[in-house]
Amino acid sequence: MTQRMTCHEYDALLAGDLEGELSPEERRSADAHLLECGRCAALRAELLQIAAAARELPLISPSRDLWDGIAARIEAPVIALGPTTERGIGRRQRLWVVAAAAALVVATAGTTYVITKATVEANQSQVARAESGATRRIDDSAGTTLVTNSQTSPADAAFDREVVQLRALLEQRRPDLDSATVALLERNLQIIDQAIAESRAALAKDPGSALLNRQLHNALGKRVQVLRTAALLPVGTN
Amino acid sequence: MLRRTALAAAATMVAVLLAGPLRAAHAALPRQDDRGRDRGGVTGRQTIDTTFRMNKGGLVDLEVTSGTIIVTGTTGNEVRVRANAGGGRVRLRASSTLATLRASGDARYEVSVPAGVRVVMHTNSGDLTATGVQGDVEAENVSGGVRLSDISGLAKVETVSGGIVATRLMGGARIETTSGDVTLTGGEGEITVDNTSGTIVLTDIRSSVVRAESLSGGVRFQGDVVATGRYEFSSHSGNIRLTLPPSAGALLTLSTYSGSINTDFPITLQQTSSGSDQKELQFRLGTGSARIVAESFSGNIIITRGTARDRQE
Repeated sequence: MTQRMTCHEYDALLAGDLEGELSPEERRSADAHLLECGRCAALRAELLQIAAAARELPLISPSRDLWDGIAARIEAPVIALGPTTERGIGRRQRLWVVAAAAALVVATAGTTYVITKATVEANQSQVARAESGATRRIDDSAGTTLVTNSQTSPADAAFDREVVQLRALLEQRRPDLDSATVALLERNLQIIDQAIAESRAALAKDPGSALLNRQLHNALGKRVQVLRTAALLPVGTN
Repeated sequence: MLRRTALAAAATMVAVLLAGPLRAAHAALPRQDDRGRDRGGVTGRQTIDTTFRMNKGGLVDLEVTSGTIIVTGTTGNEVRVRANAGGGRVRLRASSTLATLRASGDARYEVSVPAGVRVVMHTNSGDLTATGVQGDVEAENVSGGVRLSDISGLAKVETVSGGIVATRLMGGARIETTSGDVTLTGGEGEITVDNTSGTIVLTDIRSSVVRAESLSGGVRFQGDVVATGRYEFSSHSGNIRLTLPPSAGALLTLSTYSGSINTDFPITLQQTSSGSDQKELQFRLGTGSARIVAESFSGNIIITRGTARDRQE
């Protein structure tokens, strides 16, 4: 008679389960365990969801230096970690929250990068045309001013989506994080928000300004960057 | 940011998604226990003092939750590790290509590494120091200072609130902090510095690619202007002050929305913008071969003639 699988035993099979590489016997045992164990079933479902979401992503290059570090880590030699039993379920669950945050960061960073790059290039092209005399100022009545673009463009929308997601993650993780560090990051977010507001106000007066568009874009990028930092802070940082 | 946590987690996710190839790679590697002599395989002790051989291209990966890490470069081919975990435990795993040092609780690491070894240092709270390392160095913390000097490889630093003081980074630098001040004195290779609210001071720089960007902090640069170089400086509300060699050859583009622009170089005006409030000044110095761009929203831009070594490459 086959013994019932424990959570610990299922953890050891989890990667294989997600990849569909379990033997028939392992599959039967795992399925039986998943029927009885809400924790493992939920964890599996969550990871499958993340993996499915990740598969839906377009082939993109993550922003700036993020991928360099990931690639370096993947390429680094692997050394055996300690036995799984050293790690408690609570810690593991927190790790998966961070993993989800990291997955989100990787995904949104890439998406945001692609969208914003295209939009900024388009905006700069418009500005270049304006500066060259081809179009002195983009027609407000057409609703296509750079100010309008800066508020409703795909870049802004991508930034806004990522900001919402990262703020939600930060709130979820806040109880685990050092309050002083979070407060410091929030002070910096206020500085950034002020810069964004100033840039947008100036753009309202001078919609053709490439400088103001760059300043706004820099500040928007900085906001996402700081939020990523906050969302990915180590637990209990102090 | 906080790439290490992100990377650990992201790598976990990537590992889930790409577990097949990774697992194959892992299986192909000998485990520490399979390698015969477990040179650095020390676990569960409060202190460690040991040496082991490491090949060029090897990696020394040092991590402690809270504490101090000091790394120095040395000759020969051996890594020396001295670690004290106070009331906690320290764990070292080592081979000729990879060494990892971890500790629970507060700890102090003192490690010396030979030339060609890459060093990664990480602490959540504590100071990180590397001196004379002839290889790449990565230093990452949340709070606590980072001090680097005489690094021949690429120096990558990432902090949240910790200040960064670096001297003679000869293989380039990528420095990123949220609110820490950055002071780099002496640097070559590609230099990138990015923060939100701290100041950035770059002095005695000999690089053809420099980018420094702050949001509310000031940015200062003093160094050579390489003929083919590109130099970009930006701040939203901080002042940008560039001290250039008297015979610098560069095309400068200076833009500010509500700040002022001042230069003590005699300039030939190329273009002045615009119908708007913003000020843009573009002018050529000498050959005009390098590109220097400085932009701010409300900060002032000041270009001064320096007394730095006059070297055009």
